[in-house]
Amino acid sequence: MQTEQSNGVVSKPVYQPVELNPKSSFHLFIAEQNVTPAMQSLYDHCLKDKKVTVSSDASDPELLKSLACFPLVGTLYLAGTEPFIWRVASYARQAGLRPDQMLMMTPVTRERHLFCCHCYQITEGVTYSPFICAGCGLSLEVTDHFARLHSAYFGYQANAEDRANLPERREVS
Amino acid sequence: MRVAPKDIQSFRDDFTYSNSAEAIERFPFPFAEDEYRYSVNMEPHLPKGGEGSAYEKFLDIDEHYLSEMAEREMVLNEMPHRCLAMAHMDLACWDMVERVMVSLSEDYPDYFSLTREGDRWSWENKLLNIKDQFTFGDSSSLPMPPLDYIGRQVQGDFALLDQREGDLFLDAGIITCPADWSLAFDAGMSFKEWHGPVPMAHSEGIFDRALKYLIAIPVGKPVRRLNWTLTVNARMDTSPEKYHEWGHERTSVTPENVGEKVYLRVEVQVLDRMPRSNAMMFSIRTYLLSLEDLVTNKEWAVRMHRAMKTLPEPLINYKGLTRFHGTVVDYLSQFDPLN
Repeated sequence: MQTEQSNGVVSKPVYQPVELNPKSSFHLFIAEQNVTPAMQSLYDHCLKDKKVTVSSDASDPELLKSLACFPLVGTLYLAGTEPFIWRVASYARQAGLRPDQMLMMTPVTRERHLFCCHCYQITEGVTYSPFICAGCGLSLEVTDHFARLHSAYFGYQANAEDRANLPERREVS
Repeated sequence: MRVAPKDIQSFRDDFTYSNSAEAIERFPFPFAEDEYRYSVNMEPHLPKGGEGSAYEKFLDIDEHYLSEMAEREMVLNEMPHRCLAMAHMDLACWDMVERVMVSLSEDYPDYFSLTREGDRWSWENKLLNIKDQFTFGDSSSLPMPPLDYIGRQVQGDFALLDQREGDLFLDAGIITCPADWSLAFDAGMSFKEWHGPVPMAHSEGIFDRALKYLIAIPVGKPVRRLNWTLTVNARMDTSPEKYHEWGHERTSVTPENVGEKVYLRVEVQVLDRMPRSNAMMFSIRTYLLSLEDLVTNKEWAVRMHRAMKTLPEPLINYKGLTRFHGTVVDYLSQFDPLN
């Protein structure tokens, strides 16, 4: 199967420190549930036209509306869990935003969504590997291969080759 | 002489799949050097090797045609999501319909025929007893979506890559015999994302160079490359979707059965620019050859041994060979005089 390498799987997102885009004349801050201290600091330092939206649901109609009329000169800042950030980003892409208009802040937890390649179900709150699939119940190896469309990591049965030999539990970061 | 399609054999359960002497002779053996190393290894997809060669025609139809089409139907009946096309890929799907129908009917007139009167097309596939009339570009005029329709009539997996933002996106495909990757998961990914799990090549800059090369390919100048792995049993569908069913076979290789149980799996990959959509048609034509058939060619046996012996550890793991790689090298060593 697709094994992880010490030099890293390229599809795994890397989050750089986020700074205000000085070229932008409109700044939209979207946070999941709470505005994080890092986002609050950015917001406080932003002296241009700005707006904050807090939503626990990436498909919130108000949120989608603000993306639909997003200006070309705007920058979008995203904070929350990784699945939330990427789901909003995916809606933003559909609304016509360019990748360079979206700045993602380091996710607030290391919990992952895990895509089971056997039953296609997504299991939430994954912090270690192997992890039991909520759909089919198999023990899944949690990889670093990330699909933005699913906002989830790739998982496959950890002991398919030798049922008696389940890999030792390890934390994923 | 080309090998004609023969009766249906199986790629699962009782594994009746076999290669004739002619099929062994024309097998696209992938190792050009004794030592294995990574390279972009692309060349123009032009005829090579003369009459009957696997590279003679744009699309290779061989003795396994009926078997592979029967296998594809079984996979799709069970898992329809193994064929998918995002809405914006409709035109690319029709590009592919044209490319496949035109080349098959020109290269194999005994098996396939195409008549075009404007948008009114008549297609006949004598091997599968299919005869349809349809309006080119009108998906409702076909009995199933265009990618599904044509994909069930041609050997090999097909992916359609949308080109935008200087990148290629995996936005459509019919993938029933993958070497361990999932279309459902990788759908929509950029070139580097879907190659994410491949070791070594990223740091060596291979994907940067390959992508630059691929996005510049013009219409009418297809290129090809070979890829390979080893598969236990003649299993076409080595998909992650089914890994929980076939994974255990990797523990079944012994010094006694390695020659008949382990297959060299070669993919002839062709990248061809589509004229209307500007998409890239990426065909992945898979060939399977058991080691005991492979070693009937003395040169291949020696080279195979040396390539396997020098395979870097990260690739052994990535290709899933860890459990039986040593057994393969030991078996092949008896055919190498320098050993």
